[in-house]
Amino acid sequence: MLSKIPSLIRSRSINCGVTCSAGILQRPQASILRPVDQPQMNDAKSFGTSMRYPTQAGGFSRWDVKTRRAFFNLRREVGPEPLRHRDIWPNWNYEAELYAFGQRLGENTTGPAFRLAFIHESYARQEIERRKQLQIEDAHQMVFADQGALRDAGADIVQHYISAICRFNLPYLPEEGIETLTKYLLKTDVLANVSRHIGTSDLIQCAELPPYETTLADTLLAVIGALAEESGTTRAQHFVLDFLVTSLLDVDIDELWGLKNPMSVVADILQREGRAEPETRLLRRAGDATPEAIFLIGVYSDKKLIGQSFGETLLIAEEMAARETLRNFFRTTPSRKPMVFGKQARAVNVPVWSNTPNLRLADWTEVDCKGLLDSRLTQEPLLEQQQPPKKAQISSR
Amino acid sequence: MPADPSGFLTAVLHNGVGRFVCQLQRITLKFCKEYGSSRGVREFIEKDLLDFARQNPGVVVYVEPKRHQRPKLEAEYLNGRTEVMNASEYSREQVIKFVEQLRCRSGVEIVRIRKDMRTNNISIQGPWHPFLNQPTEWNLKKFPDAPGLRALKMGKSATDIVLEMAREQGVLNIVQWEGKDPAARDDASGKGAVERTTDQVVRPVTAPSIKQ
Repeated sequence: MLSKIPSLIRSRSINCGVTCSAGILQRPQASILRPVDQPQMNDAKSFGTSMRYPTQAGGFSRWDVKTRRAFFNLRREVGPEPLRHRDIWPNWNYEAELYAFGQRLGENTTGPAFRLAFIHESYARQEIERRKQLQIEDAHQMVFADQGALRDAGADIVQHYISAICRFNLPYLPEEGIETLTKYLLKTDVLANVSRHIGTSDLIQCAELPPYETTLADTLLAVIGALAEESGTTRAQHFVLDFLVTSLLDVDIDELWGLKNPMSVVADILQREGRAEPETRLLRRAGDATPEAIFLIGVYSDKKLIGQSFGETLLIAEEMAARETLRNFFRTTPSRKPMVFGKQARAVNVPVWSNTPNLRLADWTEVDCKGLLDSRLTQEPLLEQQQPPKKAQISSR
Repeated sequence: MPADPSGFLTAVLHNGVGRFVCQLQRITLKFCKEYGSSRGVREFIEKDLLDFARQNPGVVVYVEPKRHQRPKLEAEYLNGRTEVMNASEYSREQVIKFVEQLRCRSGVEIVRIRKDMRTNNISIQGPWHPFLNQPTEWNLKKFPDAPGLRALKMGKSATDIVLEMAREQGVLNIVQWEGKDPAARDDASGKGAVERTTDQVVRPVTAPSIKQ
């Protein structure tokens, strides 16, 4: 990456040090002492007007070294460049940016709701203060609309849809696990990460710079709310699916849930199902007296192996085996079916999955889970893969 | 940044799992209206820029004349990074090529890729341990000489060849360990292997008895 400074050096301006301190340099992390630009092309022509072709004697002119050193010292004195909003630069057009924001995401964002979605409460407050200071008469009665209502609407849609899509993908997972996943996706840092990466951070109108994580998260929810208002709830749900639910791909459900005392949970479930108590058996062991000892423990019920796992001590192996058993019960093993996206996920009948929760952990039995799943699947439309194959079409997007 | 920055292939925000989003959010073409070094960029602006903007509505295009400076292509990406490219002396074709390259990039810094493939998830078979996929019939076997687990014999052993030579020469006082004959020991129950060490009797065997 080239910064502006090399071009200033090239101009051999005497005052360029002063110009730099006034803030021409955009990025604080840009290194001032950078190597000589390599010629971009192997083409001999590119050397034509260049003042900076490599010479045999080191490649740097004396004035060049001095200028760079001066710049370096100056930058060290002045400190890093202050962070400024993107809109202070001449190449900024809010209308064009807003239009492109929607086009980029495959949505139409020209409606008034989207304009509102980017106005944070802090900005509205700041504007009223500013007008008071300017002694505008009715500043006290001014009410600035902000993203609050849209954010609440968006949060509702997200909560509703995410729990439905999680239940669809993990129908055997107890409701506590579903709640954990939903909570994770609604966490501020997860929302803010998504928000930042779809390009809201420059568009947000807020008092602080850079925008707080909470502001970024609120804005994402507000954009979803605005999408629901302008283009309908279904489209907003698909937006959530494509941009937010994908964050679940990084997540380890066990780690997130952190279920305590797994063996007693296994015992409770077996008791509820009328099966024998869980029995643990040491299946194999190796390297007892070494630092890499391994014990393989199996969990049995009615002489049937329902889960097995290993550990470096007997206690750890037993707990791991109990967790493996629960993974087998809840269908969350690593070899489970992958999460559904795209056409299949868009075909999910959301009300069926969002209205009735999964079974709670205290009531969980395999039979009840199957019954609930069957009753939900009867209300589902045929999935794409079950329908006769159609001719492949290239998506317009 | 370390001296040799390196990393793994990444997709910003799982791009493409849900829907694909072009990661270039805005591009600024800075050029001079007079200098020859900006000629290619000027030609690009005259002939190709409108088509580019029409085909990529998600990219905001700015054009900034900068008097008597070298032309530049400044690309800003959704991950917050900016790529600035010196387009001095570029022909129109080169500008087309590099604008296209900037459009197709993810915005992640180009570094040495440590491995061609990578996964954030553990293997779907679960982690490996020394007992993975071990046949259950091994539970009852005694190692290391359990029947069926010995290396396959590919041909005559050196012992066999020496014995044959001895018989041809009519040697009569051949001494052999009792029960050491592999064919005799390989019964189905594997008991032969267990009893191997119990009674090792040395007795002289005559040549006719071996031929049985």
